[in-house]
Amino acid sequence: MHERSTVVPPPDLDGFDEETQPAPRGQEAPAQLLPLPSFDDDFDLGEADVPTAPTPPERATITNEVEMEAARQASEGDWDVSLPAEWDPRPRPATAPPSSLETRGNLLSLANDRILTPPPAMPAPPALPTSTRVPRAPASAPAAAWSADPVVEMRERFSLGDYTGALNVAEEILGGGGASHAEASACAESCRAVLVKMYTARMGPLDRIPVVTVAPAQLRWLSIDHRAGFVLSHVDGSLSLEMILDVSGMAPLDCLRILYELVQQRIIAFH
Amino acid sequence: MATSSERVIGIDLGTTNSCVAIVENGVPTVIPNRGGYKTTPSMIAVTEAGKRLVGHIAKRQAITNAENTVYAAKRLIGRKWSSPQVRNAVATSSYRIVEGPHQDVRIVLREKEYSVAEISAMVLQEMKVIAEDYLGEPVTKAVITVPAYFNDNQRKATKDAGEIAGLDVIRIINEPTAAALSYGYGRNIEKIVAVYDFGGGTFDISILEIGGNGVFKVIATAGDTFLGGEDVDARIIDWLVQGFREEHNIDLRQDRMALQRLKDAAEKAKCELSSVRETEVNLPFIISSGRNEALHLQRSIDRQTLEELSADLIERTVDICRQTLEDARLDKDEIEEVLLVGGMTRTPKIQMAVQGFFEREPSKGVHPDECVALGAAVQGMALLDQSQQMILLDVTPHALGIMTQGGYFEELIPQNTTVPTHRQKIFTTSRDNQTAVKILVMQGESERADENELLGEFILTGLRRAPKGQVEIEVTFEINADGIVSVRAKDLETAKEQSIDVTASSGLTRDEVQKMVSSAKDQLVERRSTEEFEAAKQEAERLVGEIERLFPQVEQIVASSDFGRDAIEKARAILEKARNAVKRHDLVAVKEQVEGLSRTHRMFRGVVAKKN
Repeated sequence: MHERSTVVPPPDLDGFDEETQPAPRGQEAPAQLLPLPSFDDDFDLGEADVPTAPTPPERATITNEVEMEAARQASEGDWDVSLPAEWDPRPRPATAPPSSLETRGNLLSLANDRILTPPPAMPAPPALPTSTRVPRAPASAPAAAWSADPVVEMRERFSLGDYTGALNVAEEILGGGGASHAEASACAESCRAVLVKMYTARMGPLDRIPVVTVAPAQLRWLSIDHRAGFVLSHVDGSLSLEMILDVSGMAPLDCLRILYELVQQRIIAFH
Repeated sequence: MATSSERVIGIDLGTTNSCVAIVENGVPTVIPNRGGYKTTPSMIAVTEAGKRLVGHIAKRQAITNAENTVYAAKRLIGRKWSSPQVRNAVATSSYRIVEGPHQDVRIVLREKEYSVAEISAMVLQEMKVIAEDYLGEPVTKAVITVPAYFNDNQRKATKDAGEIAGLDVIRIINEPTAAALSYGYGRNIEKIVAVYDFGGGTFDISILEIGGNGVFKVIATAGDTFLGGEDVDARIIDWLVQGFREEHNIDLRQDRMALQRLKDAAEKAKCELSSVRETEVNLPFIISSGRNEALHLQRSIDRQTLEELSADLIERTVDICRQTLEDARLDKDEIEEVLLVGGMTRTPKIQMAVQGFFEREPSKGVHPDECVALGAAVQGMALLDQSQQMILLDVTPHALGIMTQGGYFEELIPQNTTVPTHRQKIFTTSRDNQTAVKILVMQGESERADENELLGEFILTGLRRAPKGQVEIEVTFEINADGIVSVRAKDLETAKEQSIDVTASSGLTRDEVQKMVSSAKDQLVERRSTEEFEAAKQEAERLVGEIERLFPQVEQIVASSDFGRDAIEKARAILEKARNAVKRHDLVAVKEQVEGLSRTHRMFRGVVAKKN
């Protein structure tokens, strides 16, 4: 496991960060979620990359997949040195990958695991009673870093720019008998909107047509799940990214995530 | 009537696939869609984001978004809510069907109700757009085909769908007639032909008499509106699912994504097995095993297996053919030609079954997927060009008559009568001292009135009191050139009369149709604008990319001069304006900026070229 003490803040959120600084521990969390920040200025023409140059860490922040990938790009020197000079860009096989590629894979999977690095100055809150928490996708930060109240945690994660984390918590609230929880519903919607924008920005124009770079006979050796397999089945050289989003029947965020992963793993590419 | 400068397209509005054709320089031609396919699935979907999908793209998500994907709307068009076909569709369709305000049928997609005509209009609009893209000019006139058994209401609803799509439907013709037209185009034929039409969703058999005077009479028609190629696909899916279950103990039907892929693969395998003896179904990562491991489906299927799986379905079509010939009191040897229509007829086993039943080799003279649209285009051309020798006559698709005592149907105008026409018949009272008679105007071929379609009713009162059978009432049916049926009942003794005009009803009011026309127009304009914007945006993005690529070099070259700095600033401003225009979705501004970007790009290239 790589220790990552420096990660980039959420893209283009300088002003937003100031507005949404979490309330100091022990203080009342804001009653209402802040409005969704406007990303428009940064997401036109597919140029809204997260910063590619390393950003000095003012404070440790929560990251999600896209942010993590941005961090990976920003800190390529940290780990790319372990790759062979002639790195083979072919897709990563499911079995016996070279160790250097494993490094890359680990980093990617770290990104997928929604790394959370708690603010160093933050005092550790008391351990949560397990009965109050709903099991969910592994969070990289110790659960103890967060409030026992999922609503408070959701707000905190959102305000820190951990949209994936906030979305997870919101979905737990909504799925755990709180289906009509207005704030969780609004938060989930906001998080999805932000994440969709982030992924869209990372993917580039959605009118591009992806193609499969892997020979049909090699496909079954890839390390992907059936959902990715389903999305991959729509990559036929005629459907654009946007069309794939339309026909997948998945939530746009889920489909974008998968497409992004397929691009990252070089299973699909663009002409 | 179309003028000679206009084009008329022929549209085969199918249950599962639609096709558009035109006669170009005397040659009937099918127009391919943007994907290069000559047929387009008659499917409509609305995505979670509210986007409307039509055709292949709708089909590709039909299972994963089943509740919001409409297929086989044709089975519902022009039908009443209470009809058995609608009840069947309500029970079997994945999308929601509800009762409309006029006892008609509505379909709910993402909480919005659509009439069936509106749904069909979306498919027709797609066909219109395909034709317009191909021809490079607007198309407004069309001939649309319908099954021979469609009644006036169904035909009217199809016509309304055309109107909503922005088409002037100058004629509705029967599908088997269109197929026969395509077959007979350029030949002088007088024959009795059987049209065996096995499509994706329906099976129809029609016996036609092609007359030398250009009259195509449908002698008999029958079919099954719930029997088609999709049933064969379903059999293949069952076979694949069963095999996978035996191997992995997992039911693929439980996963929509897996089912969608199975459906696509089954259809592909079915098509391939028409030309090859064996094919492979290969679906990697079809499902997760639950142990964080994806499973693959890989299985070979041969033609014999497919034939075994679909044998009973093929036998059903042969049974319907047999029954139809019996009903029409025709012998097999009276059939002089058998035309195969519909994609399923490519299947060798079906060709053999047809040949076996009719005891003659089916004609290879028509294209199974295209002949109906081609025939409609030929009809359109004939209507357009009065100099054409082919005389095409409008005929009544079904018999017209009234209900008589005992619930019987008394036919006044037989099926296939050319219009305009009129017929009279005298009836008498059925009870002593009867002072009023109720005239129920019906359409259909059944002797039982309740099996036919009720078109309208009226009462003639003030009859003389007399023993039954003594009061004579003359009933007159008249169909004018516009297809409007007038029925008049007259007491011959008192000359007292009552009448009714019967017009087919699609289930929509004029106002509703007009609103839908406007809405469809807006939709088309929106679609065209989006396409135009996307094209302009792509061009702008391409130029922005090119300019950005040249920027460092140009900056280096011209940095030393004031003029150069000024040009650089201007270029930056143009880039910024272009980005803003794209962001605002402002088509006019993007187009303007494309001009500026082009100039800047030319200038940059010139500067770099000069330096080099």
